[in-house]
Amino acid sequence: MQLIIENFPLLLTGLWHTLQLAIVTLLGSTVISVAFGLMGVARSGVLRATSMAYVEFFRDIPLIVNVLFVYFGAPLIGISLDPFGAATISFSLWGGANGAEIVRSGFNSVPLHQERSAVALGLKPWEVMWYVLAPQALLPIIPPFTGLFSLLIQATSLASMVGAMEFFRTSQIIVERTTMMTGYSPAFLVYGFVLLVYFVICASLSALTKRLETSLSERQSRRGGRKAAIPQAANESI
Amino acid sequence: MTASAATAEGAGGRDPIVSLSRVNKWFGDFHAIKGISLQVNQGERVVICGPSGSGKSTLIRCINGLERHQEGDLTVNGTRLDGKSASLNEVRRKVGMVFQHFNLFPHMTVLKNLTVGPTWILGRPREEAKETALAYLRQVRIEDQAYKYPAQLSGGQQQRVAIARALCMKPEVMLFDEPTSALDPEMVKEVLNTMIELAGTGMTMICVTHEMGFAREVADRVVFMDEGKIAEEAVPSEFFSAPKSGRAKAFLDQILVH
Ligand SMILES: Nc1ncnc2c1ncn2[C@@H]1O[C@H](COP(=O)(O)OP(=O)(O)O)[C@@H](O)[C@H]1O
Ligand SMILES: [Mg+2]
Repeated sequence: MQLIIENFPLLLTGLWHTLQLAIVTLLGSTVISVAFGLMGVARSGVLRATSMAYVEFFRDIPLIVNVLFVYFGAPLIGISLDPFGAATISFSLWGGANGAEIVRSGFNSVPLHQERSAVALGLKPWEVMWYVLAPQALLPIIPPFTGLFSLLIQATSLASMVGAMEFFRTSQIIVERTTMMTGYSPAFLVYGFVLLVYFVICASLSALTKRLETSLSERQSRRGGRKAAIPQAANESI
Repeated sequence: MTASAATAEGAGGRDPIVSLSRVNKWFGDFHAIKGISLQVNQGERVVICGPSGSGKSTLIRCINGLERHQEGDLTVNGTRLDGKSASLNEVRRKVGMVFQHFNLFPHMTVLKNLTVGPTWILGRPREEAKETALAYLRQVRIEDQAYKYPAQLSGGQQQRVAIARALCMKPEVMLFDEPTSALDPEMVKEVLNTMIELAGTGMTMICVTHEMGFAREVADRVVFMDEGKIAEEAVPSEFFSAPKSGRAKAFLDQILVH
């Protein structure tokens, strides 16, 4: 405990950097998810194919490879990125690919007839999207998206691989420094503390979204649930 | 809306409000609508029937531009559907549509379902839209459900709300695509009654339905479709008592059995 208090300023800096990483990553991932998710349900085949290619490409690369690739690859095309930039960009690309898939399947879960009814009523495409489809897609999107956020926050520790002074890296430094100075390793204690902090962050995030989800689904059940409006006819035509 | 077109069959002497001339529609290689010509006059009630897969839904969806036809002319009250969005918006505003199911938006109250169109698309003031909505809910006898959500209503009630929602846009034609075929038998009647009452107001109606009682009672004309073509067209009494084609005979035998 003494050790953690002594190194508190350093840990705090690390934690602050981790939070910055996380916030930028979550924002970036969300923007990319929505953009590519909507492209994935677009009418245009080109947009759908683009979205699919993006999703497949980034989901299939291990995140750590992705981080290293962006960090060491960017200078080759004339862009120099600091560790923070490289980490947030690669996390966002990866998070965006996974999130796009979640957004896409959320929208796909809304029955086709909802879109048809809205179009037949005369709503413009963006009105159909925003007022009719999006509210219905939200509920199935939230739980997996929370999971993704949680993964991304944990993944920020990978930024240490390219030298970002984030929370995990600072604690690593403390362990190494203490081991050198005193000859015994406080690894168990320090990493235990780190684990606790990540746990608290992720747990409060999921508690928060749990509440959002509950209030949304309570509203839904007040409306009588998500069941099909009328029993599905066996012979419904396309 | 030329004078010569008004001599088309059906309720004679009036203007055709929906006019199809040699309309063709393909899904990829599949020829779903094969050169259909059809005139529907102002105030006329046409029932379309035919075996599953004969292209009834596709035809109905072409009429309000939910599906694009590739060949032929399709005109709704003077607006030709030419694939441009101006004509699409125009036509969708003139045409009300009720589907088999999933009509209502589940996240909006009944009242909101009825006012979205008038307020967003027609730009009506909120209060006025609400008044209109309540009036139509009264017409379909479901006024007391205005503040409920669709899932709290029975299937029959939902379809009546869907009819009211379409009416709120003051359409010139109403299209129905098997509005009762997903309903429990006891609810079919209430929806058909609403449609019969609507016919009584002089609304032009094109209904895809297999409810032959309804067809007998309100239809001016029955159109029998088979394999993407109009196989037969006749007044109900003639169609039911003496169908000309073998396909129509077989079809009638099959649906009148149950
Ligand atoms: N979006 C579509 N893509 C491909 N084929 C379709 C599509 N919609 C309908 N079809 C085909 O067109 C034919 C007519 O379908 P439909 O108009 O739904 O018939 P009906 O309403 O008379 O049962 C069917 O063979 C159906 O499989
Ligand atoms: Mg059909």
